[in-house]
Amino acid sequence: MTDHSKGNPKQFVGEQQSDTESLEFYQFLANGLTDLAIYMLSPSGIVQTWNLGAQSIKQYTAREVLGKNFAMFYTKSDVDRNLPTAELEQAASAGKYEGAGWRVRKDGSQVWVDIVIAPLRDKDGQLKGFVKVARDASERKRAEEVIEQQKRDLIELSTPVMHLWQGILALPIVGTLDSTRSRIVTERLLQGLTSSGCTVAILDISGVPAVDTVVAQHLMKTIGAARLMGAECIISGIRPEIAQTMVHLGIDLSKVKTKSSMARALEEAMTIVGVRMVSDVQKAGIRG
Amino acid sequence: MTPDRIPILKMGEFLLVTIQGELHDSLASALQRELTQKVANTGARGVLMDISGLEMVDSFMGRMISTIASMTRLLDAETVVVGMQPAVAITLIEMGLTLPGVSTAMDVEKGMELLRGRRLDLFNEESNGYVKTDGETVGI
Amino acid sequence: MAMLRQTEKLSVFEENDLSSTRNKVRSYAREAGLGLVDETKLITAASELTRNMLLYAGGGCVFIEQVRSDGAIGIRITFEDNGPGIADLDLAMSDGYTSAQGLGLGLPGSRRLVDEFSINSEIGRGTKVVVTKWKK
Repeated sequence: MTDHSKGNPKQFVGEQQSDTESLEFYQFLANGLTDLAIYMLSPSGIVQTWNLGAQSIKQYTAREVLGKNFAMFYTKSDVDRNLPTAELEQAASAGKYEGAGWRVRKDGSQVWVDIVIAPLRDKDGQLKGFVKVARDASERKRAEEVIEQQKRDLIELSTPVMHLWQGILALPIVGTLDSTRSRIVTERLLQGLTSSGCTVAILDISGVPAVDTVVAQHLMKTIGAARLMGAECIISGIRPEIAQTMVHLGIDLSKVKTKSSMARALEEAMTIVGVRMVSDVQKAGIRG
Repeated sequence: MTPDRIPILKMGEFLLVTIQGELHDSLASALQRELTQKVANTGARGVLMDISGLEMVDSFMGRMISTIASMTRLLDAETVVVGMQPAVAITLIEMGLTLPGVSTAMDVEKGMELLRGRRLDLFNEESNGYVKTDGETVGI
Repeated sequence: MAMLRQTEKLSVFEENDLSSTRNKVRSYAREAGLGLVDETKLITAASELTRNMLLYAGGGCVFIEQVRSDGAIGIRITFEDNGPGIADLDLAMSDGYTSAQGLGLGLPGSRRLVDEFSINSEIGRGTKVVVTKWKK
């Protein structure tokens, strides 16, 4: 009699007990655990038992679900992708399936659950069905999502995109330029160009503590992308130490416009934009 | 959503081509043929290729754009690609796909400015409110 | 956590299949929440690799699946053909390579667009490319 895998609830159904005794014990256990959904499925996923925990999480009473396929709890897109079947197959072949996902309650609302599906086999190893255990993890999921959003907000707040003058965008970058930050800088810069219609962007890096080859690469890619879109970039705020490091590292910035200060970069930007600035100054009635 | 033909509009001395959706092999060849034909017929000085509706540009599309630029240049018309979406620009750079011989601009208007090669001198006090355009003095 | 595999198979034999493949990849990428930039990168890589199959092998199969590992979610795409195979893989994977027709295989470019890239090719038997892009 081979044991099929670890964590297999077949342990509840010991060889010495009769089927009736095992079922009673199982029901006792299942009903005692009111915040865990524990129920059994046929090999094809038909709900065969239900417990109070399942009722509280899914909102359905036993009568409403017994005899029905458990796919009814899944979202439409999961059903379209055959997720319920795949999870059962995975459980059967690997001995256990652990996962998490959105399920649909009776009232249509969604709940995020942590789940474990384990196969139930008889003495001969034949698949008799599955037991599924699920726990409501919505709160944790919501908390995680809030933290993720806060992280994103923080990065966005520390990467302001300023529309300085008609046609000129400025992005003062403060802090280390790691991969995540670089990605956000690039996306905000390019999106800013599209939304504002600016053709010049000043990337000020006086607030970036260190520039190595990786950071330089990120900057070059950002500038390249802006150029492909039809905009020009000027890097300003290159401190003497940064200049030295970059040359020592062999970083080639010959094709990139660089200025030591934002003021100089602005001068350069205005020269590039030139046209519009003149006509706007005149429209505003300013005479020099 | 793929059109059978890509329309080519005449905008003054330039031609405007707006590419949306996928570009099949046959459609791409047809575009190259029609465009070069039209450039020759109209004597257009430039071609504006609006790709603001393209969510993806792969190497095939990139080659097509470069090819069109080469062809029109032989006919004395510069091609400017306008409206490239940020995600597309980032992807092309990451791929290492350059568009050799192709100028770019943020939108059609700026593309036309580029083609006209217009440069206005900065406001000059001495010229009493006049702005020089291509050597010609124009009163405002 | 176990890897969940439900693979969608697409057969590619003509140009129209290119756009259906792209659309499928797009919907998988959207569902996984990859984000616009990564979605575009994945679709572009898929377009390159699918086009390769069409051009050099006359067609093939594309398998798309959502994969999970340690809480991370990603999209894995396999491109499999029974074409002539690639004679010099190192050359094909090097930057600046162009084949006889003047068309590059786009392999090194595609590799840069994804997080994981593997290629196996046997002359006379075919080629198999597997790429994965994880949600960041």
